[in-house]
Amino acid sequence: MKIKNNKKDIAQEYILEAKKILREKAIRDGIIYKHPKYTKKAARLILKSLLLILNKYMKIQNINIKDLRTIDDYVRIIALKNKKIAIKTKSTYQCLTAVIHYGFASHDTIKTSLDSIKEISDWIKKSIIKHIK
Amino acid sequence: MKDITEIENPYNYIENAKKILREKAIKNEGTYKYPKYVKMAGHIAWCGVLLALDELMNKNNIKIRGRKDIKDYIEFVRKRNRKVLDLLMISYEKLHIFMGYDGNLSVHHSKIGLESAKDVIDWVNKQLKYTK
Repeated sequence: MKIKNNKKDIAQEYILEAKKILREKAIRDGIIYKHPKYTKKAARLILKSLLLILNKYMKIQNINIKDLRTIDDYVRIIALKNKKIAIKTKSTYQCLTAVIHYGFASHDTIKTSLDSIKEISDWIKKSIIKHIK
Repeated sequence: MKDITEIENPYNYIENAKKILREKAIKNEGTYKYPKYVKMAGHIAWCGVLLALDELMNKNNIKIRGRKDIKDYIEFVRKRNRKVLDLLMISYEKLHIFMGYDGNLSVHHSKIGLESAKDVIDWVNKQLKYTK
């Protein structure tokens, strides 16, 4: 993987890499992905991307990441500002961990997860801009 | 008193799951409020799918040694219809795992899960003829 050296937007790079794996290796067969091994791999990258985005938010909120033990800790902090995004974060996390565990994913699940991550990321970007102002 | 065949109708399971989601889980901007009721609805709808498949397996004289497993259902459907297999897998993923285990609050997942469950039951219904 060529992700490590790039400091631009690592979260986005993980997403692109995951999409590539899904397209070229997991391979869509109707509405589900054919190869569990690569589906798991892609889901892991998407989850990493989600966690990186969340950590960015925690940083601007001056929260030590080491104090956050479970996804519920993240969700609780986000819920203080936006409940909808908080629920979406938990839902996406649950979907991705299930895919990583079972190795089975429908195209819809992956697409919904990616859409949610984009929404979460956009909201966090807005929060950062607000924070800077 | 209701007849047992009237109660053990997979369509009733789906309707009950929808009712629980509508009346108890309470929808709000693309998400449900209470995971407890989402879990309940997911379990009920998934039971409806299994009930339908069990009856179809009985009709086809398929006998499984010991307890049935998801793999038995998958194998049974795989041999008959690949498209329905996809729908079964989606029902399994959304209803059993996302809703039943996790209590996932996403309305989208519940909607897709219930739709695919209904499609699986429709496929069984073509062969068994339930009264809707």
